Amino acid sequence: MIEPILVGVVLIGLIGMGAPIFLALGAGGLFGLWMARGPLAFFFAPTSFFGQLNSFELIALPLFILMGNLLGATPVGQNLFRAASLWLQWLRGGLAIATVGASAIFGAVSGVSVAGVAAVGGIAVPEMLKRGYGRKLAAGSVASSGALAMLIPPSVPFIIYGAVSGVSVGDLFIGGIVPGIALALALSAYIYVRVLMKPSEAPRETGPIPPLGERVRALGGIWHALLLVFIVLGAIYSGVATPSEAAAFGAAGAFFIAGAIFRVLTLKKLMKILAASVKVSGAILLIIGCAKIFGDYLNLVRVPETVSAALVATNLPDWAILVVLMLALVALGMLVDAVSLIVVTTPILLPLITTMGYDPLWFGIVLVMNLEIAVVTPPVGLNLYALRAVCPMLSVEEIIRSVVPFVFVQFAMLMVFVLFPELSLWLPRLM
Amino acid sequence: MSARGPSRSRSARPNKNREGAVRRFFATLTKTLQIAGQIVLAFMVVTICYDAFMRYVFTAPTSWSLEINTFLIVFVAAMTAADVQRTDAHIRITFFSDMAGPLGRRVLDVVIGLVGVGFCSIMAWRGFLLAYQAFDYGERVSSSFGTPMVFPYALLPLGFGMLAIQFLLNAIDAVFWPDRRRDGEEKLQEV
Amino acid sequence: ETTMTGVSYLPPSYKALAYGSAGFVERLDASDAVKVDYYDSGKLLKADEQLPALRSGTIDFMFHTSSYITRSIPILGITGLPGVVEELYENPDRLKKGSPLFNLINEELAKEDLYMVSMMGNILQPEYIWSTKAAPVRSIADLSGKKVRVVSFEATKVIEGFGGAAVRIPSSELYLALQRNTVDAAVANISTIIGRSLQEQIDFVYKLPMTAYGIGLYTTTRGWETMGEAEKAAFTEAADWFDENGAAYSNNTIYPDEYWPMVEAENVEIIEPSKEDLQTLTDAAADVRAKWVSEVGEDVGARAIALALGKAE
Ligand code: NA
Ligand code: NA
Repeated sequence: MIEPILVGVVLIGLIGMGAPIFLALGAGGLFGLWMARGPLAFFFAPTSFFGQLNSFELIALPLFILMGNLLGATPVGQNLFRAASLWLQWLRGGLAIATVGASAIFGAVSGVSVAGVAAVGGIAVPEMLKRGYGRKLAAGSVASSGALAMLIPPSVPFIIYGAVSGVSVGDLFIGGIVPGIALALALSAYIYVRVLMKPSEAPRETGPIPPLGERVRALGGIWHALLLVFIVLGAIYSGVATPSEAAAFGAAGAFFIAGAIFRVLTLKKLMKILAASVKVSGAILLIIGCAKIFGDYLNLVRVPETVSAALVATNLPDWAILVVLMLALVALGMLVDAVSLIVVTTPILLPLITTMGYDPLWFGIVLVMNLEIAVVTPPVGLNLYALRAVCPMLSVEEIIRSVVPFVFVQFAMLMVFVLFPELSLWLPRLM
Repeated sequence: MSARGPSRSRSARPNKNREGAVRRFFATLTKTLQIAGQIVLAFMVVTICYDAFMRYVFTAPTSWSLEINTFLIVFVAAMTAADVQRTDAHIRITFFSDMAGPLGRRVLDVVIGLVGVGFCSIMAWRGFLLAYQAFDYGERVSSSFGTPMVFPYALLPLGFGMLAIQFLLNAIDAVFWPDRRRDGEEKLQEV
Repeated sequence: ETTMTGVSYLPPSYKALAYGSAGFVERLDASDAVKVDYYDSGKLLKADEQLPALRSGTIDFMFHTSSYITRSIPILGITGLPGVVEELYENPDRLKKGSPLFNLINEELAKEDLYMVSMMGNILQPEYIWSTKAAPVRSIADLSGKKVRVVSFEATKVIEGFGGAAVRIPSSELYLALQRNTVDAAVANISTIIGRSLQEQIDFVYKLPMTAYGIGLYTTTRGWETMGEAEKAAFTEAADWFDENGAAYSNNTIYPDEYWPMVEAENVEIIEPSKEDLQTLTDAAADVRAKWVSEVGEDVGARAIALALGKAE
């Protein structure tokens, strides 16, 4: 067991030294593969990287980033948040809560979480900071709520779990709705309570509540955003495009809004937007690819299997096994990407779960709730890096610290759905 | 000489002019590929919309959009990586390295640069073998479009090869010109 | 004991596809000569990266779906040729280990430095056309103007020949694509239908044998030749079991007893093709077969087709 520890030290050491995250993951993984299999294992590095990125579903990431950057050139984001701040003036922390709502709506468009963080975060964080919101509140609300895209259908993780477990994808999609909404509400409630206790994190707009007329007029400024949501959602739900393809419609729609409606796009400006989008996408994709090299090392030496088997071997009561299981999954989720977590642990854990008398559908739902945590926990926490990439004013360590309390909220919700399976199962059974 | 680190005699440094020319050439190369990445991104938007439109309206989708665009994701990741590194835009945590003194930071930069050279060289070398093998055996995607795999695989040796050179330049900088700032003209998200 | 590393990108939940491979691994591992380090579900290598990994010696053996690699290894195209697969499927002995066709395939594979230890004894039940309520496909004529999700080169050409539009959709988005009518139909093996719960979105299956595939067990020629005597004996014994039971169990037990009833339970209407339809398909696919023959070489191609159709010894 000394080798995995050594690999962990290399990984953490490189990250601590300030090496790019992709390099820490790639070099750490490669080092481990080399120790496990000698030079032959070097082969895995390029194939893992290539195999991970050679996936059409990932196309939503650069395209939604581009959409966000195109919108950033227009006043659409400001208008949206101006309207939200006028209408939600009575609600402390209203903008952060509205951000959670925006992420949930975006979740109904996208099936992967990083795309949502990139699209929502690039607009929401600067607007919140401009209005005096606390940096950690702004960062934490975006990074954690971006993961809602995986629970709220359509959802790529559910499709993968369906393929690995044999559970109906349709049932999984329906099963994700209640936990998805519950988690969005829990995050909102947490934000509300947090700013009640620490009002400085979410200052009220000064002055009296604006007259109704002004508030209604502010709504006139949000139709561009609604148009875009209509284009993307419309493309998916009408069947014109698949969820991945719809990202291209979103980017094209944003191009239209910036170019034709607001007329802010010169060729030079467009080049700059494309440049920034390519840079951010490249940085995140490189991490995604190299995370797989690291994940392959863990798979090759069967770390997830060993952890799961150790759990299965314990003689605890069912509920305690479940709690320990969830803690172990959270720990594993720190080290592997979302897809690997499903593919690797499901075949090992599902027999145990069904023997204990639980529904595989329920397990799929709580597994994806685990992923909500996995994507915001370092060192392999893609939402953190996606947010950093679109919000350079935030540092990575600041973002990591900002999500800690949100992770506790997510874990609490996870426990609720783990200990009361009926909460997630009633809706799919109704259908 | 700045206050950073012990001063070195100028003669110990490589010829700055010649070195500067190599560096300028390399910077132009990575910038060019960055621009190619921009074109690729625009190409993705246009072709995916075109494919969906042709499918929905004319029942005449393309055979190539899905295949080409999937490979282009690898292009965006690999071929722009050197430029992202040159402009220090890769995501990293500087919390601890900021606490190290100037000399400590230089040492860290050299170590990171060398680790980067090592990792990227292996990726480029094994990636080259992968591409060469795909060429040698005529591997293709088993679809009707049938992209020869040598092309997408070749992105790995090219991209990581350039990234290795960039890490080497960063390490050289850390040794000889600790004051040279990374190209800061194109900050992330300045749009 | 020698440790051998093997991979398959298929998850165990794709029971019909994984039954044989899992059984092979279990038997090989139980032998005294070999210990198996096995990774399924694409945990270690994605489907596209298995072949390069085998060639580089990173793994010792792989299971691979023939339709995934027919354009890299053209001779395997015989397992997917329209107009041939129905005959081949109905006559399992023609692909058995040691049969003339099996040996011919291996002669060709040797040129690619590969050795097929077994093709699970047969191909799997052919891929049929599964369609939705909004756009039923119940005959060849119905294909005209339909958007059909299809991957393999061979089936693509036939669909286009019948006036349908061949659509590429990632498999993870196929469920939604059928639900929202982004595509009208899909050419698929029943394992894919059940594996992705597609029967929930499907209303018709037209059993026109468009293409097919088998799951082969491969090593490199060098890997096979340099394998120790005891190891080879264990490998052969496990492979014999795989050849005997791989496709047979899926085709004769899982599909009829489990999968088709699941399809029927969703009230999917099953349409058998008429003799004329089958003949139309065979005629329409002549070009595809000719193209394939030209790719593998006149002699080899013609002989492989004749063997598959039982017209040669
Ligand atoms: Na979603
Ligand atoms: Na994580």
